[in-house]
Amino acid sequence: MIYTIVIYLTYFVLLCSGIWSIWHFRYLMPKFKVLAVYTWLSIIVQGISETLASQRINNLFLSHVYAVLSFVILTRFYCMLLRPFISDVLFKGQMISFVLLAIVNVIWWQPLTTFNSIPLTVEALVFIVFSLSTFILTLNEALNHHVRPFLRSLNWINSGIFLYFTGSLLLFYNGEIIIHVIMGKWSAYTMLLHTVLTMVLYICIGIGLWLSPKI
Amino acid sequence: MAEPEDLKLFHTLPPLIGLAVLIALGVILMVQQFQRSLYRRRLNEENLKLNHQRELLRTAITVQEKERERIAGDLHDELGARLSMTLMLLRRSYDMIPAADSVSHTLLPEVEAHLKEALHSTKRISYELMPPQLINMGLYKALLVLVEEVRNAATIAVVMERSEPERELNWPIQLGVYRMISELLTNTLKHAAATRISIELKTEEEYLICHYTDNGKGLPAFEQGQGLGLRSLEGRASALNGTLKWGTLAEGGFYAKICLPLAN
Repeated sequence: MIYTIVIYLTYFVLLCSGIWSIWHFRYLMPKFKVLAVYTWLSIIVQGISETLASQRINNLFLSHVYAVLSFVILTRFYCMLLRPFISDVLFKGQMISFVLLAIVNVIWWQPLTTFNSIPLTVEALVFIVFSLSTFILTLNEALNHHVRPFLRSLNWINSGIFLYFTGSLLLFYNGEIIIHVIMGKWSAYTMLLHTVLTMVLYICIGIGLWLSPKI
Repeated sequence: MAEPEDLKLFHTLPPLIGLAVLIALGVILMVQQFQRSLYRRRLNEENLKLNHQRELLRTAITVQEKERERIAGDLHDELGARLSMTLMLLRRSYDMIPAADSVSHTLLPEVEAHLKEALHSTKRISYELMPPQLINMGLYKALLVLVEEVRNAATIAVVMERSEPERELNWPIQLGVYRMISELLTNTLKHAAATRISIELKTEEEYLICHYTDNGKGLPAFEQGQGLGLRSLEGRASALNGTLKWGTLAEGGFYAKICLPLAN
């Protein structure tokens, strides 16, 4: 019951962010437009996922596709954000490497019908590093001059990304046994906590987009 | 058989620690990159500031030189011409004065002498402001004339050498080198008590290099009240994207090395 409420709340938050970002898309700064696209992608993938689940069709292949697309979009966001400090080549190389990893993973390790924990772990690692570095950047007066105009908005988005990926990493890829040891029944709690983290991510992105300066 | 729970935890911790180490390494690398970019940006800003200051200095020198040229031209063409005309009229009026007017015959030669002196001073100041030989004959010949003037004015041996045929030099370099050598010669004559000056001009790759030495008292003699002079020489060299080094020679005496890029 509680899981159903949380998941519908998450969809509601996601839809609100998506609709708001469609409405204000043309006034958003380019880097925030990328995040608007991320919310739309999430809505589409969640919609297809729910439809397939209601038809009792395995929808795990969507996780493979979603991992690659979300990685590319979020990397693009950080690329635009950290451009004055980090070369574009590094971000492009990272995108290509991740796509290759996802393909190799599907072919040899985790087929489309299984859960893609390897790319998701890598994705979480990369974005934890980016979000932590961005926090350090925003706290340094000498470095943060180019993010000052949208600092409040960035702090919300970056916090959401950090919380989501840290939580996901702990829950899915290393936390299963810990939760099992501590709580005894890992699966239900894991899913519930992950949904809460997803909701937190969309809330943070929504608030970040809402607070972002308009052009 | 079920695995003991503490063993499961033991198996889980190393990957977790590994991930934490990876994250920490990633963050350290990113922060290093931020710092490097910050240093690079500050360095660029400093370079921009330096270039801006150099540009300001160059503009100031150019304006000063243009003003000198204008004043020299006005002095020579207007004041000099009027003085010459006055002198000519004076000579004519001198011939027309009756022989009995002894006062006029006494005073007019004095007036003529003063007028000649004024005309001479006007020409000298005008030449000093903008040497016509530099405009007409180029740097090397203008320097030879300057050296000759120094030889005539003081009992000092001045040796001027050029290691290869003079290359086409643009006007700012010619004027800059002329002014710098002129200032160095003045300093030597005023403070160094030297008996010999050596000037060597040469081009090495894309640089014009000038070695200036004398056998006088060395740098302390130059520094007394001349710090500003040497600084202004350094400013001139810097405005031409070049350098000026100076100091005391091991065997005594002053040396200066001017190095200017030809592609100014």
